Amino acid sequence: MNCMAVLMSSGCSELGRSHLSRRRPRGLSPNGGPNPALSVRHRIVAVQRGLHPELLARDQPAHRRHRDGWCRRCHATGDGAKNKRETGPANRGGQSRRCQCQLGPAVVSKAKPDGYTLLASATFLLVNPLVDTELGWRPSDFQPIARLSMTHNLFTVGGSSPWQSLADFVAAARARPGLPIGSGGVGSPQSMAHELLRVRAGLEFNVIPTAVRRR
Amino acid sequence: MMIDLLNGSVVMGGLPLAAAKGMLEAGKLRALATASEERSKLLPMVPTTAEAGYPDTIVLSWYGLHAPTGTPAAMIEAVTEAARAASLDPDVQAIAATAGGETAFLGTKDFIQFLNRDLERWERTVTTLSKR
Repeated sequence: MNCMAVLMSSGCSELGRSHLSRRRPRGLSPNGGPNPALSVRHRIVAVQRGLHPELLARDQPAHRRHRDGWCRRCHATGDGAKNKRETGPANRGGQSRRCQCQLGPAVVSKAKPDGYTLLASATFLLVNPLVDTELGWRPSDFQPIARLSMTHNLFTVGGSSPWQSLADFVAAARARPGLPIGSGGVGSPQSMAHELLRVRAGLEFNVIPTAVRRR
Repeated sequence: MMIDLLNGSVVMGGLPLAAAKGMLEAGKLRALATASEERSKLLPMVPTTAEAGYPDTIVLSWYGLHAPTGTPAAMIEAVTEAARAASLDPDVQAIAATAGGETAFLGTKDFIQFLNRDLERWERTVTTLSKR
């Protein structure tokens, strides 16, 4: 367990912001040797925090670390970084489109199944195969290990919005079809949520595709 | 989207709690409903979509670990045990809560069952949405 790659992919719910980093991880020892200070627990903490695997990769042997590029989780790009280059086509849709973020699962699906290369999986693993036929990986390429965490998805409005409840919003949306609704990208869990609401409540929205988190 | 919500370009949007947490606490965003089976421990005042009358508007975001098919069972078990230990660590739970998430460990067998249920839900969702 001294060396392990955990490849991240959020499934890219951020529009047009695909980054692939091949730079040498900061703080890496020149020989890239194992760093016993980072336990498996640390690595899992890093995954929980949605951090780039460069933190995880510090105790990766160099030949493994540089064998493949890794996918930087879109949400974690933190654009203060200078050495990243944008390789993904801009303005590609989110989870339903192939983008650089799909490299994570694609790489892991072809990795040697020795337990040293793992996928930080998420909802995209179930959703993407249902909405995209050209993924470069199949659900059967992976076997589950464990669930780590969950986050809730919310219907949100601005703090000064007059609506205090979902019923308030639905009433307003019925009265005024075509209200502008934000969407975190086609196929993202959040877009699925507002689409379900739209169908179930019989509403018509004007969906504005924006990023969940824009920098 | 957060900016669009704040400046009124969009009037409503779905956001993961992890992304919205800071703005909710600052009162700049308001949560109308949680699209989960249960209320969030972090937002106990916010009703679920089922409570608001939309029982199938449930969208779970989970995070886990998968291995390439064919990985030896001993490795799977070792990683599972490490993940179990980490999920019980108060520091890890605090970090997850700060990020707007919740540790929600499931071992391999339970995770597989959860995935099967969630996949069924997603298949229903995609079918529902493809018809409209």
